[in-house]
Amino acid sequence: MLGKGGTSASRTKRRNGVLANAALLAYTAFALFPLFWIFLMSLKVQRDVIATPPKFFFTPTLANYAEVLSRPDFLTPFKNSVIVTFGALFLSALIALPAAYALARMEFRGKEDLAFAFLSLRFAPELIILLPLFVIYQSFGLYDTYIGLILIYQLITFPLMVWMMRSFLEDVPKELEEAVQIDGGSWFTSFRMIITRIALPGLAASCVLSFIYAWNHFVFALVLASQRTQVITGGLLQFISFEQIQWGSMAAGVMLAIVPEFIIAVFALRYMIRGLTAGTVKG
Amino acid sequence: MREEGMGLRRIRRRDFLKGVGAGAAALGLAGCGVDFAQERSGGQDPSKVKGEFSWTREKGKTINVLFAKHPMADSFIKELPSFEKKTGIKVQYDTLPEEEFFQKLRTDLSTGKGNYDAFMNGPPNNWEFAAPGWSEPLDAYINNKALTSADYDLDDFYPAALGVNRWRGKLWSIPANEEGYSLFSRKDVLEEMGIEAPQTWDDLIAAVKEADGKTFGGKKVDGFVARGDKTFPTIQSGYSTAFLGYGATDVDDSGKVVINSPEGVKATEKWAEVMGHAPNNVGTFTWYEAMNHFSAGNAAFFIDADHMSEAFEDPTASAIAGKVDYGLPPEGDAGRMGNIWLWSLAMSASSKNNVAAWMFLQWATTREQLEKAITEGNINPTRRSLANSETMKNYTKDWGSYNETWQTILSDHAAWNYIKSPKYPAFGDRWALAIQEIALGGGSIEETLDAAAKEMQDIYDSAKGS
Repeated sequence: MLGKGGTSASRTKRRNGVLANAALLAYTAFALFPLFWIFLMSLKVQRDVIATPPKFFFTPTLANYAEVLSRPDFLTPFKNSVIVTFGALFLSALIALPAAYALARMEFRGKEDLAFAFLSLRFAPELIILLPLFVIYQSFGLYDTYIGLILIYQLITFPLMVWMMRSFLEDVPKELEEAVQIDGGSWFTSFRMIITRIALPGLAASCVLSFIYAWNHFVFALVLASQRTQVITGGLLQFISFEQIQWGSMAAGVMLAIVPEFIIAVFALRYMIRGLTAGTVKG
Repeated sequence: MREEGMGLRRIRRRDFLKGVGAGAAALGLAGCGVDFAQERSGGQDPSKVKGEFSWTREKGKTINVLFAKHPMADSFIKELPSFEKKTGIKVQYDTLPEEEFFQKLRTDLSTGKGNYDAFMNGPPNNWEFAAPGWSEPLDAYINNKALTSADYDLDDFYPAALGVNRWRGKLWSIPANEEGYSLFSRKDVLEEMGIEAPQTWDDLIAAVKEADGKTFGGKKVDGFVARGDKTFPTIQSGYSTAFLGYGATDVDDSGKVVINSPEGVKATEKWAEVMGHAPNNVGTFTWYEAMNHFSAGNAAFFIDADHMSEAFEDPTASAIAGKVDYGLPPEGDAGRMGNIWLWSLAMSASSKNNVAAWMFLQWATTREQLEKAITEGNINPTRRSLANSETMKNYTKDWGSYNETWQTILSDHAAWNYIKSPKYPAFGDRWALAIQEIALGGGSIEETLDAAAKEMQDIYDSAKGS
């Protein structure tokens, strides 16, 4: 502890630390407030939701949650989102990890062009590509199917994974792989070791981000899915009716819809931290 | 009413672009070489189907239907099991809020490989979808005794409603829900001020001025409220009652945009006077905000869709149940006039199950079905025989003069009085922008209308075939 003997420099430092923390705290409150407000809304009846001035104190009700959980037009899209998002993530990981490894470690012609081509998948505004895709999907019977959605979601998850994993893998010291090779391991052995051990935090981070982007996506499923495979973002639209928006139910739906994201983030955070502190080579 | 000729190929692409937004879409299309030519590539030729009429003719088929969120759609969805039982046709459907509904519908129709066999549409969509060949003309179905039940009775529909859905001599959709525009007055306000419900625009202006800022029913009220945002439905609703009531027209016979004619200016002056006593943020009001403002008891007078009665008369949601006088649109120099809006059912030209889709359209718009829809909230039936049915009378019995008023508006004062051009939404949006400026009190009325007319002329001309 610094008493009177503290130098002015350390006092300044401490004051800055307090200020920084206060600023961060204020920002956290600012960032989380909408979420908190939606949570409050999910516990309100419609009359309390639209009350002016806004109500912080009210009699909470779980009726919105009961309503949402009893609606097949919420539960089916929720299930569909789980299938599509995890499917997309799995497929992406399957292709993107070897691709990222190759881009990070191997030398071949047109490497940067290829990497850029992957990235460019993210450039195209969705509406440009959706119409031709709609036609293709209709022709190939992919419209309103899980496999169709999983394929189109690669546009979201694949480039993200390739590029994030590439930079993570580039940071892994080459010496590690050389050590594997000295012990007689193939490139696949070192690839496996790195992915499942050292690059795990990177994998966790890119999975979480990909998951969030995919889970939150709206337009692809709006156009390419229908009643059988509509995802949760489309499902939430059901709470907008002709004469009014059912704010309470929609808020409850939103709270439920972010549960998987929340779980995944918390789960992955553990890996991220453990990975970060599990230093491998020195220097 | 003018119907525009147009270079079909050009319009197809343009309109489609408008639907999905951005010239960017052109790149995607050019890359893909989508062919928009629409021929009936599957299904049955409706004029060649022979035999006795039977509801079960298309038994075993499945059709896909796209609905917008609306009480009319809800009423049909609720009855789908009875349709499936009656016809043996299975119905799969999607329901989306209006904005997403149109996005999905335009995508679906524009590609010519759409998923949907039948869908809901509004008046401008008739021409927007018919011009590029996206929607199916229905005359051949209605006129074929093998396809249409003998008791269907097309003549039972209000002529004004059918008239909207006819374009180039063909019927493109069947009206199932109608709205005309009514002057709503608060009875308690009229009583306290000691006046009758306003009948003319000048009456209305005087009453609005008198009521504005006074307290009625415990609330300080605005004299007037209406839609004021900068999209075409603003023109469509309240403003039209003034514009048409003073005998103005949007485009004259020579194809010139004349919203700034002396009649147009006079009507707009009257409109500006009442809107001067609307809430300050009226420039952002769509029907939804305007309706809620009035039903919360915050305004004395309001012009909008007559069937908002459903919201006003619901005591759990409204502060003014039982207090609304339902009036005809106010009288101007040319009498009482208003525009019309419909929700109709239409069929996709690329439907492979076109006859099954027709069975659905037909079933949904039978007298029996529209009568069931009344108690589900579709309270402006489009069939004349239902207007004074017991169901309608019972449902609206506590709503004052509502049931007579909407019928009078529809039979005597409502019609589609604007260009029947696929460009109507863009044309109307530009116009609404000017009306928003004027209502918010900016600049000279004539100059604002002149500027709008000039740009609307360009929009209008761009839809002509050349």
